[in-house]
Amino acid sequence: MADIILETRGLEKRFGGVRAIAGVDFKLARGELRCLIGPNGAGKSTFFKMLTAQLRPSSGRILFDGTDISRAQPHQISRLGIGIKNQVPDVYDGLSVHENLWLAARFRQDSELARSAVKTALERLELDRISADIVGELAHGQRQWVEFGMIMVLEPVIVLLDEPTAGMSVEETNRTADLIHEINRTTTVIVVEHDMQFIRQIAKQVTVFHQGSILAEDTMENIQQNQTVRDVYLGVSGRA
Amino acid sequence: MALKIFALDPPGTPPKWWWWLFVGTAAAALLLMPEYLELYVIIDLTSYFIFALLALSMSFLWGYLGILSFGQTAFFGLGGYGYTVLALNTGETTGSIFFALALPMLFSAIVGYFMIYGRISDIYLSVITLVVTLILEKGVRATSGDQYVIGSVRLNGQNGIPTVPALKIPWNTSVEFSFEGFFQLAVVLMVLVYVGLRMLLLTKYGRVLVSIRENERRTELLGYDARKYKLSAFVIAGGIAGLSGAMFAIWGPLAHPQMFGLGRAADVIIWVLIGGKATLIGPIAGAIGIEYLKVWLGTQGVGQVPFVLGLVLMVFVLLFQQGVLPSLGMVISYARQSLRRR
Repeated sequence: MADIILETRGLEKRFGGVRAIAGVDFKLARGELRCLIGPNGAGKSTFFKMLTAQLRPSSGRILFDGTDISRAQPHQISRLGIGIKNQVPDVYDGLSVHENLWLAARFRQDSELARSAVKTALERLELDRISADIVGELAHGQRQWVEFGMIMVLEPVIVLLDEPTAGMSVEETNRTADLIHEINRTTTVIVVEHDMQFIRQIAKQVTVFHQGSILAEDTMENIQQNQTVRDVYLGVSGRA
Repeated sequence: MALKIFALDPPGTPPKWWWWLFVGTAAAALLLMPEYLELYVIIDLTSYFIFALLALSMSFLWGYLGILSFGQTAFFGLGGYGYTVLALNTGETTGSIFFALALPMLFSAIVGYFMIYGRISDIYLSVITLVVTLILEKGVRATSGDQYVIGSVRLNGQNGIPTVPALKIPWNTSVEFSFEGFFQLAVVLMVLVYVGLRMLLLTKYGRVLVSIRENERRTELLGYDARKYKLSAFVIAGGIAGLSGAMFAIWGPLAHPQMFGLGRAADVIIWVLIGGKATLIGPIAGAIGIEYLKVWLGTQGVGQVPFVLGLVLMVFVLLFQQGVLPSLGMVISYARQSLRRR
């Protein structure tokens, strides 16, 4: 693969005696849409948190576009063009939808551009009618989309999403899948998920985590055929 | 609903015309007061307006950035002593006022740097600022001996410095401010700081401060360096508290260790809590109201002033959790809505 945008080398995280991530070498090409899956405790969330500088690795390196970011501060991560969405909607609950997006847009742009970027995002996400509403009073799905909007107006180079459909209805999940495809047209995307239905909907390339290491890495079709993966993870839900 | 009260204007919303009208009218009325009121009332009111500055410095930090600096009195006291010592040494009062701004700002930058860049939690920040102000109080109280001299000024320990020079008119340094002039200066400073903070909160800077209160991690994930914003706000608040302290020392005229003390530190919290910390006007009202109540209780010979204040605080914390003005605003907007429905 020629154009590697994100890479980890021997990445490791220990909590006391537990190796939550045990020496992971991971590569991601520009423009990819990659899903990270694995059973609970496989280490995918820990891996995600390290990629997004929310956890410091115990050892190993994370390279983003050639820059070592394994010791970066959270605000530096965003400045490099990495957009992050955590599992729990991480929004400003006390502020309006518009203010949420504005704060994201204004970081990179002057006030004129920020205003138009917010307007575009509100329309794209169909949030324009509730733009004055306080985010904390919205439904769960809408709050998730507010966060998507915040990431979109940041115009990141890469977007990392941790279980973006957690707690969403089927309809909301479908819309989120469309949204992720749309984001992927211009941006590299990593999605951490364990909703297999959703992964089938969006996935091209899948990385399977198991006990802190990468167990397999392949297309979704091949992963579903992979006997080892079935044994550790898909065993039950994969056949259903 | 509870979030949509008038006092919590959405960040970035410019004030309406009636706000300017209100501020203008209030400022004009206050400036004219010396024409109509007895001198002793004017002198009392001056101290309330000086305290209002201190209340503003806390509500800016607590209400908008979300950090409770229990020891804003550290900067209040430093401002008072800074002005006094420099003015006594040099005879220059206008410059000393600026020194009383700069010294607390420098001190808050140092203390704030270690707290904020050390990423200690907000609760520890409250504890540390309180400890800092109490250490300063103890330190100043221990300076009774005649070896504690800065320039030609003895610090006087427990007794404080009673010879604080009166403020001279900057463009005519042979004339001191009269009681009325000093009163008007306090009004002007209070209004300027109030309007200035209100305007500051409209800017990108101010809106990012509010976002840090709401969700600091999110703000960092958007790319803002929250530490820079927090530290600079802490320094601004330190400067305002210092200005308040200098004015209070001049008003006394007395620079006293009690300026750093626990009692004063608690007063600030009570003003802001009762007035409503999510507003700027609330803490002003809180400072004026509570200080007036204290003086009034004193003259009534009730005796148990702290006890009564404690009761007042309990009632407010239990019944009006947002503070007086926001609660009033809620009642008004509720009444307006139910009138409209008819």
